[in-house]
Amino acid sequence: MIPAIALVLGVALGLVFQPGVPLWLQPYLPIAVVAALDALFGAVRAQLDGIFDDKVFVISFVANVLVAALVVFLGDQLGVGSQLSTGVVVVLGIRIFSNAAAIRRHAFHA
Amino acid sequence: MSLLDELTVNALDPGYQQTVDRRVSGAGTADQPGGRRDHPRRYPRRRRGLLVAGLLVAGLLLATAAAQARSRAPASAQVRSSLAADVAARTRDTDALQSQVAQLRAQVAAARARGLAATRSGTAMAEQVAALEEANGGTPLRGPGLRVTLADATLPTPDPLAATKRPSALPGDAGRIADRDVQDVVNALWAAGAEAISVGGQRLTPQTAIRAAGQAILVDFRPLSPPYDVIALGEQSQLGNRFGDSPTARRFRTYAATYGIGFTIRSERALTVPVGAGPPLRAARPPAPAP
Repeated sequence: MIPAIALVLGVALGLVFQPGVPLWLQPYLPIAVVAALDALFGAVRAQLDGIFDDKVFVISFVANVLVAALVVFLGDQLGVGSQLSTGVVVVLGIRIFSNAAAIRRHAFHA
Repeated sequence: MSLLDELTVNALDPGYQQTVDRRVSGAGTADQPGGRRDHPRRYPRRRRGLLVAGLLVAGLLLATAAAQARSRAPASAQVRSSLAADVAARTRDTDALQSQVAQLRAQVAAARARGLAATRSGTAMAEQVAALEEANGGTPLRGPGLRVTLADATLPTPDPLAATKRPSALPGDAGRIADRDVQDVVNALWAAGAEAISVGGQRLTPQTAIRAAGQAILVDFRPLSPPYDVIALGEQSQLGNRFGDSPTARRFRTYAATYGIGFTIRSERALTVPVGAGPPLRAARPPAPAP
């Protein structure tokens, strides 16, 4: 319950204060968000599977976000930034989708 | 396929399962193999704080990204509209300066006429100056002539050859009037005996360029918008016949039939062409006024 409140509180804080994103960070924000969504869906599924672990969640969340942004940054330096971000989005998108499917099976038993 | 399989099978971070396995083997009291549903439900308070902080950051990230994505679209629209307003303002400025130039020119011409009218050689010179100015666009002119109107194709280009096979290579550009088309028409009009020509209200002088910037046609470095009105003064029937029979006009009739561009020639009794922009001074400067 408290974690869910924390999530809602984070969204509310972000919407109220609208923290400015530095210009150099802006290209990596969407990728970071996709990585964060992946971690969140993974956490929900793990919770439903009964194997949730907060340390694993926090570390995987932070690492996913950083690594995704880093991969895109490296791609930008190598001139393949848009292709690499497409790749990252595809991989994370498939993971989000199958995690969401697992959550659906838990929720509806179907 | 194995890559996709692996992605869907290992969608969940393997860390969760590993942690459970480790805890189970560490405790050594696994009731169920696989270690499911046997981990302690209560976390130490510090760990719970970690989870709350992580989720807080996650929510913050989501909301920030959403706000960012929402604020960025209007920003680009704002930049665009302010640029458009800038262009409009600059065009207005240029128009005002042009009309000022025309006024000052008229004053200069009047003063010169007064000065030259005093002597006989001066009168001859004044006539020569007037003739030269008419020829190079230094004075507005009116008279009979042709009005040729060019317009981009309005229909989606019906390409008779490629229609059944594949869309043409440049679907949007086939029916578009380019700067070269305007140049061709203007050259054909000069060849047909036009005495003065204006394109889209811009008088052509010996130094006027018809160019393209992106998809806009520039005459004298001022952008035109379609349809393009080309006005040529000259002896009506001769100009009409010669231009109508020119290869350029025939080509444009074909374009009109094939691609649906607008191409009309009208003979009019009273047309006017404005005064053209004078040659710009690049290196010369007026001297400092004498004290």
